[in-house]
Amino acid sequence: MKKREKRFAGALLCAVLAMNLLSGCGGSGEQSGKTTEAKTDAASGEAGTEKSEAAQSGKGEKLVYWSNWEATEPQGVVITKAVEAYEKESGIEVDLEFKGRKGIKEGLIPALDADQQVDLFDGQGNKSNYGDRVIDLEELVKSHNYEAGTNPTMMALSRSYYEDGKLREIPYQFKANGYLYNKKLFRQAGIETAPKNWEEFLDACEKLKAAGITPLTTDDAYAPQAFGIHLARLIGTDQVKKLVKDGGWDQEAVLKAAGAFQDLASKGYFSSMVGSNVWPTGQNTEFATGKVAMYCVGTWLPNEVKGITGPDFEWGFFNYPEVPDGINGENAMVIGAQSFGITSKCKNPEAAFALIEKITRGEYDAMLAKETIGLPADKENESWPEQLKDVKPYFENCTEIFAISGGAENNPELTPALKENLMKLYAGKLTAEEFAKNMEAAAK
Amino acid sequence: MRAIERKRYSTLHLGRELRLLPGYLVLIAWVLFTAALLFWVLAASLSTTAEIFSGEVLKFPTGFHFENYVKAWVSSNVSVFFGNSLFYACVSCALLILISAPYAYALERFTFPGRRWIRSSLAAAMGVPIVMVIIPIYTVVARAGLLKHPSSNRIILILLFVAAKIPYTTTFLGTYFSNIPKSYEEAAAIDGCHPIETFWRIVFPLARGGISTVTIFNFIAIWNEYFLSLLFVNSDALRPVALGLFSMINGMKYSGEWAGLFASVIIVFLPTFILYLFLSKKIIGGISGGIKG
Amino acid sequence: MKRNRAMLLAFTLPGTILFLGMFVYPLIRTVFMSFFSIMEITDPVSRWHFNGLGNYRSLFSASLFRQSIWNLLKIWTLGGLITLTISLLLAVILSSGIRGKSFFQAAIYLPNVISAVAMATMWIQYVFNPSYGFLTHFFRAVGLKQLAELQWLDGEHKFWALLLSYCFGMIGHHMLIWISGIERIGREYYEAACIDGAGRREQFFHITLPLLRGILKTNIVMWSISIAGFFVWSQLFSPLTPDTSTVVPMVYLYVKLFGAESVDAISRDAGSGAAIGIILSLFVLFVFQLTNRLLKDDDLEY
Repeated sequence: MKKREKRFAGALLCAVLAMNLLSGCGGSGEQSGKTTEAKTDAASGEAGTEKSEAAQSGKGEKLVYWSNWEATEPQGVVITKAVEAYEKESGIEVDLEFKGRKGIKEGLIPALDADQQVDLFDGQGNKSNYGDRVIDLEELVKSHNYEAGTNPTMMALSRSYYEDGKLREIPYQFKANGYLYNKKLFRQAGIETAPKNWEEFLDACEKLKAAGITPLTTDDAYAPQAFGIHLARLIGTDQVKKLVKDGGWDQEAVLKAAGAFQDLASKGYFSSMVGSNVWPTGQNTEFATGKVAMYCVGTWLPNEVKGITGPDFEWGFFNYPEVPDGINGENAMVIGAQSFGITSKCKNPEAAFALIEKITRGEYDAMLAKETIGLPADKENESWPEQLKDVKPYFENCTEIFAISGGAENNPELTPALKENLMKLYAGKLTAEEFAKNMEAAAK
Repeated sequence: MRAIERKRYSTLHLGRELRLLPGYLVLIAWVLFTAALLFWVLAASLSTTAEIFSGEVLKFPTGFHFENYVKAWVSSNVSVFFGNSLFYACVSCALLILISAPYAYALERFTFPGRRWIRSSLAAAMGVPIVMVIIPIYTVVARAGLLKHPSSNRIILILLFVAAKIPYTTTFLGTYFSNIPKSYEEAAAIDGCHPIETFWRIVFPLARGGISTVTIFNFIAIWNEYFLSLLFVNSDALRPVALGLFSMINGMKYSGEWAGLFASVIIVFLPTFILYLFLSKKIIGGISGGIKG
Repeated sequence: MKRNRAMLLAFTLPGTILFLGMFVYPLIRTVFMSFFSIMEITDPVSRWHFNGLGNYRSLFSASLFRQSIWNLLKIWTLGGLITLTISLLLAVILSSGIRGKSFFQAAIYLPNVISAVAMATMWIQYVFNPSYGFLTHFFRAVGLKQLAELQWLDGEHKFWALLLSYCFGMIGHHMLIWISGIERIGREYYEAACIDGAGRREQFFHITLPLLRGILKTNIVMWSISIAGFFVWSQLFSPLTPDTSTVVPMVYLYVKLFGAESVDAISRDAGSGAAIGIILSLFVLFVFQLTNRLLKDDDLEY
C-alpha cells in the first residue's frame, strides 16, 4: 500500500514536470528563442497573439504596442486581428503585448522611465498624468485628416484633459453613463417611454413597484454614479469636483440631491439588498437576472453581463433625468472613452498612428463595436449594437460632458466615505441631513 | 514509531473515543464547511454564468458544462499560467533550500563577526512589507534592461522570489537546527568527518521535517504570489496563476465569464491539492519523527 | 568544532548577498525616499525634492489613511485573537490522538493552498450572498431568522465579513505551526504527567502551554507579518475603489503609487508611498520587539 502510494506520487510528480516542459516554460532554453516561442503558442492555442518573444533584435521596423486588454477578451481578439492585418499591409512588425489594465497602470510609466521601448499603448481615457511621456498628436491628426471621422464632442473632451488643449490621445471604445433598463419589465409595468425628467422617473418607479417589480439597484463600486450625476444636474460638474475637493457638504444642493435619494429609498424603490451589494452582486444577481428594472452605470454593462442575460434581454438606455431646479439638461451627460497614446520613446510616430487608425476606423472599429457590444469610434460606422441603440441620439446630441459620476469620484481620498454613506442612504439607513453631516465630517 | 502509532489506532477504546467526541464534532463541522465552499465552486465551474447568479448552482438545470474547463485551459491561457507557476515555484523552492539551509546552519552553529547582526536583521526583514523594498529594486532591474528578454525576466523573477523568502526560510530552519543536539556533530568530528560533509549527510537529513514544512510554505506562497509578479512580469506569457486569476476577475467587466473563472480556480487549485495530500503526510511524518529521532 | 573559513563563506555568502540586495539596499533607499516628495516610483534622484517630514504629516492628516491604520490595528488584534485561539484549539484537538488526524489536518490547512484571489471570490460570491448564500441558507435551516437576514456585506458588517473569511484561511497555517510545536514536546512529558495522574486539562495548562511559548512567539510574529502585507483580501472586498470599512494601508499605498481609477487629477505620490512602507515596517518591528521582550525564550531543553 505504502509503496504503491509512493510510486503514484512519483508518477504524479513526473507528469507534472512533463506538463511543465510541454507548456514551454522550461525557461532555460530561451536562447533558442523561436522554438520555445512556438511551443508556448501551441500549448496556449493562441498562435499569433504572442509575438512578444520572437523578435528581440528584429530587423527592419518594429512597433511595440502595450494593450490594456487581455488576449482573451473580445477587445483583445479583435485588436489581434487588426494588428495582423496591419503587419501584412505595412510590412512593419508589431510586438503586441496584452498587459491588462493593471499592467498598464502600474507597469508603463516605470518601463518608459527605464528606457524600455514602448511605442504606443491604450487604456482609460485621459492620459494627462503621463506628462511628457505621451506626444502631441495634432500634426498627425491633421495630416491623416483623422478628426473629421470622430464625434467632435469626444475630440473636445480628449483635448480638454491637457492644459495647453493639445490632443495627446486618440479616443475609441466610447462609453456613456446613465440608466440602463430592462424594457420588458418597463412594458410589464405599462411604461411606454423612457423618463426624461425627475417627475417621469418617479412615476416610472411607482408603476414598476405597483407591478411588483423592484425599480432600482446598484453596487458599492457604482454607488456614486447616480448621486454624482444628480448633483451635477443641480450645480454642474465643476462645482461637484470642487465640492469633493474642498468640502462644503452642508450646501443646499447636497441636501436636495441626497433628499431625492432618501425619497427613493423611503418609497421602497431600491432593492432590499442594495446595502450589501458588493460589485458585481447587484448587477449580476439582481439586474441581469431580470429582478430589478434599472441600474445607473455605463454602456459596458450589456457586454459584462451577456453571459447572464442571454440574447433575449431587451436593453434600454436613458440619460440621467433632468431634475427640478437643475442647471443643465439632456444634452449634458457622462461620456468617456478608452484611448491610444503614442509615447515619447516612439521613433516612428507615423507608423504608430497608422496602426491606431487601423484599429479605430472602418472594418476593425465596426468589429470592435460588434464583438464588445460597444460604441464605434468611426462616425461612418452606422451599425450600433442592438443593445445600445438607445444611446445614439443622446450621444450625438451631447454638448456638455460630465466627469465620471458627475465629478463626485474626483477625490480618491473621499470616494470610500462617499460610497459607504451613499450605500447607507440608498438602503434607507441615513437621512439626507445625516448623509451631509457624515460627508462633512469625512471631508475634514 | 509508525508501528506504535498503527497499534494505537487499531485498538478501539470506546471510552477514549467518547471523550474525544467534542473534538470530532468541531473538526467535522469545520471540514464540512470547507467542503461546502469547495463543492459550490466546483458546481459553479460546471454551471453557466446565468445559473450562478440566479442561485441555481446546485440544481444543474442545463446539465454539466465541461466546456468551461476547455475554454479556461485553452483560450484563457490557464495552461500557460499553470506551467509558469509550477516552474517558478519548483526552482525557487529548490534554490531556497540550497541557500538557506547552510545559511541557517552557519548562523546557528558558527560564531563569526556579524552573526548576531545578520540573525536579527533577517528576523526583522521578515516583517518588511515587500512593497517597501520593491521600488528601488524595480528601478535597478528595469534600468539594467533585465525585463526586456523573457529568459532574463524569468531569472529575475525567480531571484526575487528566492531573495524575498530567504529571511523567512533561514529563520525557520534556524529554529530546527538549534533543536538538533550538537552531539551528532561532535561524534562526526571525532570520526574525522569534514564539517561540510557532516552538515549535508548528518544534520541536513535530521532537519528534513523542518525542510519539508518550510518548502511547503514556500511553495504555496510562491505559487500564489501576486505582488512581485505583477510588477516584474513583463509579458503575458510569463504570468503566474495568481496574477492570471486576478486579471481574469479584473476583466470580468469586459468578459463576464464567471463560470470560466470558477473553472480556472479549480484547475489552478486541483494539482496543488493533490500534491499537497501527499506532501502533507510527509510533513506530519517529518514533524513527529524527525527531530527527536 | 573546527571553524573553516572557506566553508563559512560558502555557507553564508549567497544568502547574505541576496539579502543585502533584496532588503538592505532598497530599505535604505526607501527610507530616504520617504523624506522627499517624489511623483513616480522610478524618478531619478535629480527629480526628488526634500520634504522633511511632510509626507508623514500629510499622511496622518488624511482621514482615509488614519482609517486604514485603524482598520489594520483592528484586524491585527481581533483577527489575531480569533486566529491564534481557534488554531490552538484545533491543534490541541488534533494532537489528542484523534482518528484521521492527517485527513483533518490536510482539510483544515487546505484554504492556504488556494490562491487568496480564489478564496475571497468564493466567500463574497457564495458564503455571504444575501439571496442564495451559504450563511443565509444555514441560519434559515437552523431557525435563526435574524442572522439569516443579516446583510454581511453592507457597510456595518463588511469589516466583520472580511475578518471572518480572512481568519478562516489563516487558521490552518497557524494550526500547523502550533502542531509542530506540540509534537516537539516529548511524549515522555505527557507520560510522566499521566503517571502523576494529571488530567487532560491539567496537561494542557501545565505542560503544553508553557512549552509552547516559543511557538506562540513565532505565531504572533508570523501573524503580524501577514497583516502588515494585508492587501489582496481588502482589494477583493472592494475591487474597484477602496472602501472605508475595509481599506488598509497597503491599499492606500497602492493608490498613492499608481493613482486611482476614474480620476482626472494626478494623485500619484511615491514619496508618501515610501513613508507608508516605513510606517508598516516600524509597526512589525515594534510588535516583534514587544513579543520578544514579553515572551523570552525559555531555556527548557526538549
